[in-house]
Amino acid sequence: MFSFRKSFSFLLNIFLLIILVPVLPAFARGSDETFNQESSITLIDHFEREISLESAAMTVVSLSPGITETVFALGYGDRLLGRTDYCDYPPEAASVPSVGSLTEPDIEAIVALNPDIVIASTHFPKEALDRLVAAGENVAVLMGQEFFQGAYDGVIRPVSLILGDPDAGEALIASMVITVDKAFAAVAGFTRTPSVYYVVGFGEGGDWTAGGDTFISEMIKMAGGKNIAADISGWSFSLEALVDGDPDLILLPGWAESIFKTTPVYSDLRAVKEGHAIVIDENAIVRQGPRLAEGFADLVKAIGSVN
Amino acid sequence: MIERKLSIAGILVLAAVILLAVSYGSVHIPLSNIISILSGHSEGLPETWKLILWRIRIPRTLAAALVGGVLATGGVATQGLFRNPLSEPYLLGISSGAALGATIAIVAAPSLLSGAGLGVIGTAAFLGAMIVTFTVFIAAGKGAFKLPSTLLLSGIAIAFLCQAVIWLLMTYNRDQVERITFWTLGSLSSAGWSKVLWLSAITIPSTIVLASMGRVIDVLSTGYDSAHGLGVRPQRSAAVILAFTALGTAAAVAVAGSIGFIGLMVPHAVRLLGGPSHRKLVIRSWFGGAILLVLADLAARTVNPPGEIPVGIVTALLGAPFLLILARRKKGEGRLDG
Repeated sequence: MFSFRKSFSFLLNIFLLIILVPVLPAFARGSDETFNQESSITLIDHFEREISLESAAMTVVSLSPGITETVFALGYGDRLLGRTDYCDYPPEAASVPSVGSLTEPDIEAIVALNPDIVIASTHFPKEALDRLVAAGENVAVLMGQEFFQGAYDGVIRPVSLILGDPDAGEALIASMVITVDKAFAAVAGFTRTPSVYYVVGFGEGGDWTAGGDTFISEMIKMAGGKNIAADISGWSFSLEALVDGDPDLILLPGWAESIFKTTPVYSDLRAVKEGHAIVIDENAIVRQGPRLAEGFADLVKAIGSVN
Repeated sequence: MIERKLSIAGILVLAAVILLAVSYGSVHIPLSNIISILSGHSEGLPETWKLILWRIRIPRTLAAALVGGVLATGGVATQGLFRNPLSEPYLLGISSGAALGATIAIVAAPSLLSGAGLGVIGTAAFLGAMIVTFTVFIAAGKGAFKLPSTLLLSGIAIAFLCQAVIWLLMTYNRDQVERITFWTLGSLSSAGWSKVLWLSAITIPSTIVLASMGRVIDVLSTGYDSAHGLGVRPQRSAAVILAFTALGTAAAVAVAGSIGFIGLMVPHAVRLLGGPSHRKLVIRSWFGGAILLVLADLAARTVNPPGEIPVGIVTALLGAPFLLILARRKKGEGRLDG
């Protein structure tokens, strides 16, 4: 009992960290890069720090799931020496040793791996950066401000540059642009704007969704939907408001699918009865990386299915 | 008779706050329409309003009353038995056991959990509470019911142990930290009719047993030594009282998470009405707890609609200042234990 009370603020901090994570890319800034005549590489990272490498990085520690996905998508997964606990995609990433969590990477383990560069992205705390730099590591923090352009300019281009293969970066971006353009064309053809509810949590512990000021809500809007929680800020919602909102489409995380559809009241929602409660991979729409285009296309497809 | 007037007042106030709680929520439904729906004349009104009233607000409010009532009666029983004004039923390891059970369920099978009935999380929480409470009794040893302080120490030690295991599980399952945290903070948001039935089946009998044993608690609260002389077998009686307290509290915690302060606060407030009889204290505390939690839950879901705050935060925010005021008042009388 006493220990519960003591742990409230600690637990709440962890929770806030987790739920705020998807909002962070909105504050990110683009990065500029320049390519030297010799094989040396220089670029400016998100914190406007100048990063220089004598040659392409042959060994990399990634401190972000989006960066790990990017390195693999560019075809250089074998150069990864370390990743975080959250780097769960592609499946091959599991064979790369973890160096801890996003916010508390194990500095000693990273130093011991002795990579050419450490690449971090969103929710990487400044303290961890300072500690890594003090330990003599070459660290680049890469992220971008806008939805798609941010992933292209802020993440994929600089990562491909660091790996010494900018062409692979351009090819990846070109394929993403095609996917995104197709998805926007589909949205342009929508005849109406279906109402959408995005499930973050439900049942025991309360109802949680992505409010109007979140990255996910922006994505839903771009994908041609109307978020029924657009009027709230933050994440806290209620079952009453969900029933009253009567959404055309419900987007679920994978773990919630079977429980949501069988829990009383939720199972009576019109969208559930009509078969419009669809699983969406949240990681694909919140991580700045190569899956962002596919994630957006899936979202458009889901919204299109109730059009 | 004063007692009878108080009982009638308790019933009337509870009925009034339940009506109030049913009338307000994150979705605004005009009062006249609420009356129409409640009296069965709902033709032409939106189906969603009927669903919100009958399937969400009413069961949730009734669950709040049942949970609040049983938590408060558990507080009376433990404070009387342990002769300690800071006692509450959670000290028996119930909330930590329930939290451990719920955490194991959330971590072990996040996608297999069924939401029907008490649900897998609720069932695991109930079993966890009962197993851990039993362990607390065993760990306290033979003298547990003779010397209550050994039981309290055993409860506190095992609560810390459970919390350590919960943190360990959270460390290795960071993706579920959020769900575990909000479960432990307490919420009535998932309380439907099946949970109301389940709560009624356990908490009403356990409250009746405690009320009927009120005189025994009277005797035990004056000291176990004098109990023999008054024809009460102290250890056996204490065991029965604590077992029913644990059962009722575990049922409440399994449905609503560990909502704090009700068990601690309500018995003290009720004692201000006077009268040391534990039978009356149990009954009055049931009403006090029910009224308080219905209001706390109403606040939890209406302060910032449509968002909700965990009801355990509301009870703690109300409870802490209340206890401080109470402690200052009591200091003038030279004692804290009423």
